[in-house]
Amino acid sequence: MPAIAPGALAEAPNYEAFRAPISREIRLHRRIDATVPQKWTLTQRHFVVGGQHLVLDDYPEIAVYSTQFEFEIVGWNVRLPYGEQDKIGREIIRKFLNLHAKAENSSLDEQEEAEWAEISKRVDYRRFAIERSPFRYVAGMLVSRSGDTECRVEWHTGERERIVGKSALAFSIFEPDEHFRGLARFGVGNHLVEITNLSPAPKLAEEDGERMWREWPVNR
Amino acid sequence: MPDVLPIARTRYRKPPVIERALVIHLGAPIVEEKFQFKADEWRTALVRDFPKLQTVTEWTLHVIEKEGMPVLDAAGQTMTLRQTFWQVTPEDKRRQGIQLWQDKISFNLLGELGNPRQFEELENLTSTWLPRWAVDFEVSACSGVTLQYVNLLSKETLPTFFENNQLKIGEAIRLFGGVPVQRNLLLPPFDFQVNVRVDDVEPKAHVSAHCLSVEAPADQGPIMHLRFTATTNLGQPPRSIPLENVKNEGRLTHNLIIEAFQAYFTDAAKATFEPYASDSPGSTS
Repeated sequence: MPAIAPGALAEAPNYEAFRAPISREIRLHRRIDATVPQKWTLTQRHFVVGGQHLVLDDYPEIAVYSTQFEFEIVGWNVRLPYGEQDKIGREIIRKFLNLHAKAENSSLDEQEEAEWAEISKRVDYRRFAIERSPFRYVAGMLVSRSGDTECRVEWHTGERERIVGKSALAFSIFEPDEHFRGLARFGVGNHLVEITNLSPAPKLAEEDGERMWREWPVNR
Repeated sequence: MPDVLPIARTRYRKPPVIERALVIHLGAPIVEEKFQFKADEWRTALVRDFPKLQTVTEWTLHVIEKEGMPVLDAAGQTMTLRQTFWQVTPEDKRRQGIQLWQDKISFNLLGELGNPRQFEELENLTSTWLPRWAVDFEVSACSGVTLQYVNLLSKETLPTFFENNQLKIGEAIRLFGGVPVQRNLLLPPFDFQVNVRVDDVEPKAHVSAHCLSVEAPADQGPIMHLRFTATTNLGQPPRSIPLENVKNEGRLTHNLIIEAFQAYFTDAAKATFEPYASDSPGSTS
């Protein structure tokens, strides 16, 4: 038997695709000073555009200037017109990469120098550096596979790693216990980010290394 | 695999339904980093099937009282960007789409007057794209579903209930029929919300009817959205059910909304929605 539900929300969640605006009235007893920007916290620290990733240490603040129909990403010296909120991530990444490139070439002017000092404090720079590290040669063995999107590998260092998603798909050509080599990029915690140019490889035993060392021309 | 529930049928050619949305909830949000990476990949992966991308901003206002005065408090104000993907008509009207949140995904089917779309279309949209979302966002379980139908109450959908730009709502919606005044004197706003717990189904559900006015020119008379929402996303800690159950829970919530629809509208209103003959093979959901 249905019963009136206790403790229900006053405002039910709505998943409608914004067909018609629904107004809500808030009564204030004095005018809001339109010259003072209203500040909002963007609930996002990770920005990804076209695979480029930037992580901020804190959630960025957005200041809305209602008299100028603009908003600003606070501390980034980036202003956008109303309605271009979808460009926030792109503009943050662009600004950072531009300043980063100039900083590497020591070509920042005075104003950019000040901006870079401010912006570089807001970005997880260590993370940025790791994620831009180049591919490196790896070898290892496929330990097990569960479907095409999850597997476990043992790297040549002896470390084992569970891999999921697109990277796991790259290993789908191998059977468990088969050895491989390829070019890989690792991220934070030395976890695989991307692997390419995978091909089967003969098993490298310890004696192979010793034999190679003995046979190395300068050691003969 | 659970037994598949039958879909309850309604009997109208022109119900006032203008939008249907099926939401699949997660017990815990996807980690932000993974979510943003996958959402970025979807922007290119889905572009052929959903050519119109739209970022929607959700603003949360926080008003506090300071020294007896209301103040907008920056500390509690947030904005959230949500990625949405749409198929559009040649006239650039949204037909159907997908909306992404960190803790849920919604499949939306948009109709219009005279074209309410069908639940089966929503089911097809979901069965095509839910598995893709599950693989790409690495999701294998959910905590329940919410189904929402939006009914438009206006001069266009209830023309026979308008007189001198006034809606005789007591003759169209049962709830108002019992108001102890002369029915045709009821004046807008007609906003209300009723929440009902449904314990005699498995899983348990809540059904709500939420009626609220939308902005309209004065000469149009009152325009409202009557939203029926049924959810199985209940309980704390959140349930964990395999995604295969989404189909059945979607059908269960659809059947509950059909019951609500039948219960809220008066027979006179339902007669104007052009009922099919009860045994007609054309009767649909």
